[in-house]
Amino acid sequence: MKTWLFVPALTALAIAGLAFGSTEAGVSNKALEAVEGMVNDKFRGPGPDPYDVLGAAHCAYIEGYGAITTVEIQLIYVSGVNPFRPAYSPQEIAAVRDRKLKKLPVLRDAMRALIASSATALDSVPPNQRIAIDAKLQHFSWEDSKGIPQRILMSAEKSKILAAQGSPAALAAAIEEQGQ
Amino acid sequence: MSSSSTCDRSEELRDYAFDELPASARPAMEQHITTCRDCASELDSLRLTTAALRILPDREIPQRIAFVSDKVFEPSATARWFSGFWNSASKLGFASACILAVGLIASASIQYNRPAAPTQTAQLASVDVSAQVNDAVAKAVAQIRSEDARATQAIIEASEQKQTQERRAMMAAMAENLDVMQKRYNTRALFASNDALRGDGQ
Repeated sequence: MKTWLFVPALTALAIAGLAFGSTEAGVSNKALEAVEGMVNDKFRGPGPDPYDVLGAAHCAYIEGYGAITTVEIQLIYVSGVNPFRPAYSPQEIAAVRDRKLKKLPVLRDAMRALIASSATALDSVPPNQRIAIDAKLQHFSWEDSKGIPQRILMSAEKSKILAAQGSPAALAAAIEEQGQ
Repeated sequence: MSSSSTCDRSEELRDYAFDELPASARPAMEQHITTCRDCASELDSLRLTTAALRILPDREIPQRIAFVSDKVFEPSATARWFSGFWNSASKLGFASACILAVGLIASASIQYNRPAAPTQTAQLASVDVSAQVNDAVAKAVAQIRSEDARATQAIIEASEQKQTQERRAMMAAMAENLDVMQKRYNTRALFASNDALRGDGQ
């Protein structure tokens, strides 16, 4: 009878350990939420041609790898097709593409800055682990998205990021970028 | 040609003028002319006439000379009638009307006097031909209607297919837009909630 009760108790302990182990051992939820807030604030910020945030930032720590933050944005605010606007003209489609292409370098700079600030904020991430940001870019099916990636993933080893702080060129050299 | 001379020797003078007087009489005549003024004048006139005649070219003597007033040239009675007939519009019109009337009367008479059996045969033949023509026309009309219906159906199907594709594309685009709007709404709601929490925390 006692053995029968001992098995579920051990199972519950194991699950609790898996669920809270990482944060307890490495990065706190508060630190992760702080990073999420930084990313959200960065993309929510006002500007002449603001981003359209479609998925709020989510930051997670992966044991052995590091911290990764994901966000879904549209490079510029574009309203989709609706019954009152059933189609975009070729000129409008070209204009949307031009605006997005101009916004791409701005996004890359913003992501590098966020990696740098995330590396500082996530002080409990070991220096040999990575800090990554993955931005998923929304495109409508009617758009001309040639030359615009579907997503941009930037990552770098935390020690290299901290070493390159204050120098945008060194930071850009330290960060690896993958686009799709 | 009558002579205007009052001299007794005017006949001889004419012969002399036309070289028809014997040579033995010519000296006496010449002597007479020198003394007779009438004969001298007559001789001048004759010589002038002779000279004028000699200037004229020689021509064949016509075989016959006639005048249009001659009876020979008058048109015959038949020709006169025809000429009068063709030159009169009223007569021509009347004649045409008469011919038409005669033709109508003859046609009606032939129709009236036609035997019964041939009429029925002709009517039957006419009915057969009419039926064949009607059949052919009906078939042609049916064929054309069938082709028109097929063409119309094809056009309608193509139009419906195009409309369906456009509607599907529009629905897909609207679904995509709706998805984006839903994400936008959820994100803004989350941000508003976070902002409220931050405000409470502060």
